[in-house]
Amino acid sequence: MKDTMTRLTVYPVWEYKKEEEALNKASAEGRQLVKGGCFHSVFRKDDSVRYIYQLDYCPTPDSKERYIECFNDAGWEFVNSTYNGWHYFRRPYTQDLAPEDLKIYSDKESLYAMENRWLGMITTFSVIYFIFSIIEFVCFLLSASNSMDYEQLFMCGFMFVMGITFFLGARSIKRSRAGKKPGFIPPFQIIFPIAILGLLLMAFL
Amino acid sequence: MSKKNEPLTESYYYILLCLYHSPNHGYGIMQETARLSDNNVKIGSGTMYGATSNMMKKGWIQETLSDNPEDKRKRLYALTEAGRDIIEQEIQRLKHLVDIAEHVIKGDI
Repeated sequence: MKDTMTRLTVYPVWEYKKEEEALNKASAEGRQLVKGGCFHSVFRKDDSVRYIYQLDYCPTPDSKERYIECFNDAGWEFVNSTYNGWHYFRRPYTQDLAPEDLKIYSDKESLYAMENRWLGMITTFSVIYFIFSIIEFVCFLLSASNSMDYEQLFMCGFMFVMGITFFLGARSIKRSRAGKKPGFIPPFQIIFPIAILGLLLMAFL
Repeated sequence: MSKKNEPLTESYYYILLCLYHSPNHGYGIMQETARLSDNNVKIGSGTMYGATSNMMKKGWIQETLSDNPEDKRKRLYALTEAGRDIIEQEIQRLKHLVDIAEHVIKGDI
């Protein structure tokens, strides 16, 4: 067995906590993160250590050096950053770690501030998708009198599905703040391939 | 700071309090906060980074460098005059709240 492996790891932003849990589980099973990414992550086989992970979103730290120092001070080791502003941190797992040592945010104000940095963005995305969906639908209706244009109908449906996914994703974060269950979100394992397909079709049609 | 200020979060409050007498580094602030609060308040790194960045932007604290050669951590945070006003106003606000509560409990208000 090779000791480094690359895995497809696509998580929508509203499931960043799931990614942390998946990394913790992988580490307990001997797969240690070398480099985390938005689409794929690299792991190394090592059964001798176990880490717990935290993800932080901070696209423009005022000083990267001070940023990493802040985490080192509390025992977190910097793993790597993604191109779009996420940072991976880890610390060795020990049984005597207090619950508050497992989290990088110790109050809800600061946690919400981090989440709000991308929450506005995905809400905007969902609005843009909805607007384009309506435009495509109107175009379809206008062209329907001549000959059925299914391409426009397909794009309308695609934009609508993306819009609803982003909308429900954003809503799931707000619901969890209110102590409710996230509610239905179209599974990203299905939405992600559709998104790629839709973008390819848009580029070629 | 003449405007009425928002109440501070516990993290902000402890960070400013830890800098009251002298500058301290981030690690020192985290340790001191845990000690002062009997381990009830532990400032996480993400919270700490956000709070210090925000307070530097607001001009409540500033970064200075340690001139002690034995100090491994060179980066220190120091309270500014504006920051000192903020923490003193907050202490007054909290005292006032406790005073009111005591009056209500005694029934002399």
